[in-house]
This record gives sequence, structure tokens and C-alpha cells, in this order.
Amino acid sequence: MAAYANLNAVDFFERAIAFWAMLDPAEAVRTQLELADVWDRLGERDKALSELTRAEHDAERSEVRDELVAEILLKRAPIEARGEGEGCLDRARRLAHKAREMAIGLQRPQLQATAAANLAYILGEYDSDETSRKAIYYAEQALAIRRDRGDVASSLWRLANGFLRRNDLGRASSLYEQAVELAEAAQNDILLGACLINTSLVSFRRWDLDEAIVQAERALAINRRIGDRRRIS
Amino acid sequence: MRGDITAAEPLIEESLANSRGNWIMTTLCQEGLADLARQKGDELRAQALLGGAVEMCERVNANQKQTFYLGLLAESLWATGDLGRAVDCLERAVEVGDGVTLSHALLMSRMGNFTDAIQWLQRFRESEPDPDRRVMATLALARLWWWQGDLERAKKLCEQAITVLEPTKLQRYLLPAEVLMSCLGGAAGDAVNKPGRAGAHCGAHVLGEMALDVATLLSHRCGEWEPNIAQRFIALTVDVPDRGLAFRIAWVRANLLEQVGDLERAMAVRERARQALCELREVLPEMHRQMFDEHPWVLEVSRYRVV
Repeated sequence: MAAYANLNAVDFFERAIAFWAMLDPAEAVRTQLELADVWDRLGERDKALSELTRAEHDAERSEVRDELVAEILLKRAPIEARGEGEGCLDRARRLAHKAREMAIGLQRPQLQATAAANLAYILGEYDSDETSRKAIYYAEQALAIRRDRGDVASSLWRLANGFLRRNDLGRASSLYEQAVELAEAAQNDILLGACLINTSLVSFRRWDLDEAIVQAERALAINRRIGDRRRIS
Repeated sequence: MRGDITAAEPLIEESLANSRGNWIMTTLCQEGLADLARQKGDELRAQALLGGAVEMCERVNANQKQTFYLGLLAESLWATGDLGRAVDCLERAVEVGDGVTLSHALLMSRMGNFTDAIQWLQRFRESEPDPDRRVMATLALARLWWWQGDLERAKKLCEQAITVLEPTKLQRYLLPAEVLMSCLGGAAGDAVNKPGRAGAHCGAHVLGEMALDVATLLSHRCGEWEPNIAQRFIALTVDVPDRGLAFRIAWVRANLLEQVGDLERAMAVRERARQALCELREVLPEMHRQMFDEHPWVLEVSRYRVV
């Protein structure tokens, strides 16, 4: 994943896609997913979605079509979930469920973990008691599968979000601390920025507004530096 | 939240401009701006923003959030005296979501449904995730116990609300709790002075609630207060923009005007209170009007006879 979202990154990925298209079409599609991610972080949702549509088209010709389709669905689902179209949250939920079924069928645990993390995010946005419980279930599932330290860190963040939604501030706070530690060690500013936004919310819920502002300002500085417009807002 | 509207508003406006295509950010910004608008007394802008958030949640099928925004919209509509539309919002919220929200409970207490309001407020004062809303539930519950004569329980709740606010002492949130505490302690002089300095910190709807608490205290032992306390309350309540509360405050004001011997003004204010109550009743749907008519404040107005 690109550390910085800016037009240089877009240009780099465009060239990488052209390069991989000649050598390895599957890698070209995966690079398209990286580019979609950069567009999404730049706040260019439509460009991200059209990149994913292009990836879907290109994936049809690949030998690993099903794997790629599952990966594309997993990239599309959270972008859909934030959209403003009719029923977009339900659509995102269906996409993530379909990707999870595909990942299970393909016996790809890492994809399964990403699907579970996606479901945790999407279900959380419904904000009901039932969906927030399910969100925690899927976030725990994703964490149980993850092995890579970077993936573990983002799964800890996702699980912490689940507890924050249920206002379990003790557990949320402890999980965010672990996620921040791993993100700092890995110099993963994308995750660090995301964690700090939510630790700011924990401070707010504890009515420590000065601390909440400090955390939010740190998050804003990081997200501005890396160009993550989704989180600058 | 921190109380600096001037700094907060452009930041939220900027976020809203950058969040096109993202319903989560858009509705959060609309909620934040609506809060600032209410703080500035601009209920109509707050209603437009919250209406936008409701529509957005409906479109994307985010039912729980739609319920929450419908509740906030109902609170604002109540403050502008649009009781019928407020009740519509609450009914829609129940159809869409899992059940009632804190907004339902707050307005139940205004409608006179004290039994249900107590039950729900008790639940929300424990379960509301945001401390400011938790405090709002706790203070509303304290008021209900006070109105029902359980002063000790009311005081305990008020103390608990103040404890929640301890980590960051902001006048916007602390003053309503302090005014209520003074009222519960019978400290009329202290209570009647505080709303005067709250204007710089609190929205018109919150000032209305503070005036209501003072009115409740002064109406308890009407005739026993020193004239200067009555005069200060009379001066404080010349204009109460919260139309859902205005009739009650005007009624107590009329009683106090009588007490200080200004009978002519008392009569005029009493008539205004009656008129304000009639206007509220007219816009309430029939089934809710019956309950509203049983509210002790409404009964007090309707039973009053000039001798």
C-alpha cells in the first residue's frame, strides 16, 4: 500500500499497471487495486470505483480470476459503504459477504480475514445493538487469522473500533494502545492516523476534551502529511 | 464541544465541503453544525441540517442513525413550538429503528408522560455513549424526581451529572447542572443569578431549561421569596425563545408579578401564557393532546380562575 496518497503515487501506479500488463496480468489487476486505494484516500471516490470496474474487466482474462474478483470485491465494499447512493450500506454488506464466501471456497485465509474485517466495518456503520455485536465477532475472527504484524495491528484497530461503538472504553483503549505501538514500530502512518482519530474519540467519551483535541490534532497532522483526505474530513 | 463556536464552525464547514459522496462524514458534519446552530439560537438552520442527515440516512438505509437524527430534529422542533412535527419525527423514529431514543424520553417528560420518561431516562443515563447526552438524561431525570417530590434522589442525580463533567469543566454543560443543584438546594438567589451569565455559553434552548428550573423553585413556595429575587426572575424571562417551555415560564412569571404587586402586567403575562399553551395544544395530535392536558403545568393553567 502506498504510504502517501498524491498525484505522484497515481502516476507511479499508472506506469506500474502498464508495465505489469505486459508481464503478469494478475499483478496488473492487483496494482489497479492499489491505485483505487490511492484515489479513495484522495477523496476521489468515483475514480476509485471506476478503477475497480476496470480491474474487474481485466480480471476476467486472468488465470486466477476468482481470487482477483474476491480481492476486488473486498476493495469495493468499504468504498460502497461510505457512498451516498440508495441502499449503499446494504450493497456493501452483500459484497463483503460474497467475498467472504469466495475466500472460504478458495481456502485463502488472508482474504477471509480481510472479508471479516470489512464486514466488521460495514456492520458497525449500521450502529444497532445486534450489528455492533456481529461487528466485534467478525473483527475477532479477522484478528485470529492474521499473522503478519502489520495486519495484526490493523485488526487490533478494527476490533477496538467495535468496542468503541459499544462504549466499552477500557477494552477499546487498550486495543488502540497495542495497535498504535505496532503502527509506530512499522512506521505505518495510515494506521497511526486512523488510530489517533479514535483514541481522540475515547478521550471525548471520557469527557477529557483537551486530550481529545491533542489526539485529533496529531491525527490531522499525520493525515494531512500522507494525503488521506477521507480522514482529514 | 469545547465551547469555541468561532473556531469550530469553519472547520466543520470545511469538512462538510470535503465529504461529498461520503454519507458518514456528511451526516456527522450536519450533526455538528446543527449543534452549533442551536447553540446560536438558530433552530431553523438546525432543523434544515438535521432534516438533511435524516434523508441521507434513509437513502443509505442506516436505520439507527436515522432514528437518532429524527430524535434530535424532534428536540429542535419542540423548541420552536412545532409539537405536531416533533411527534411525527418521534413516531417515524420508532418505526425505523430499534426503539425509543433519549430524545423520546426527553419529550415524554415535556408531554407529561412521567412514568415512561423516568424509566427511559434511567436507561439512557447509563447507556448513552456521549457524556453530554448522558448528563442531559441525568438532569432530566433529576427534574422529574424533583417535580414528583423526591428531592434527595434528584440531588444525588444532579451530583452524579456534575461528576461526569469533572474532567473538563465547561460552562456550557456545567451551568445547567449548577442551576438545577442550586434550585434543589433552595438557593433561589444563587439560582436566579446564574442564567444571566450563561448567555455567553449556552444555547437558547438550554437557557430556557435553566429558567424553567428557577421557575419550578419559585413556584413551589410562591409568595415567600424576597421581592428582589422575583424581580430578577421577571427580568430574566422577558423573552423565552423555547416555545415548548415559554407558557410555563410565563405562567410562573405572572404569579411572581402578582406577588410584587404589578397586577396589570401579571394579567397580560398570564394571558400570553394561556395563548402560548393554546398554540401548543392546537398543533398536537389528538391522542397526545389528552396526555398533555394531564400535565401538572397544563392543569394549573386550565384550572386557574380569576376571582
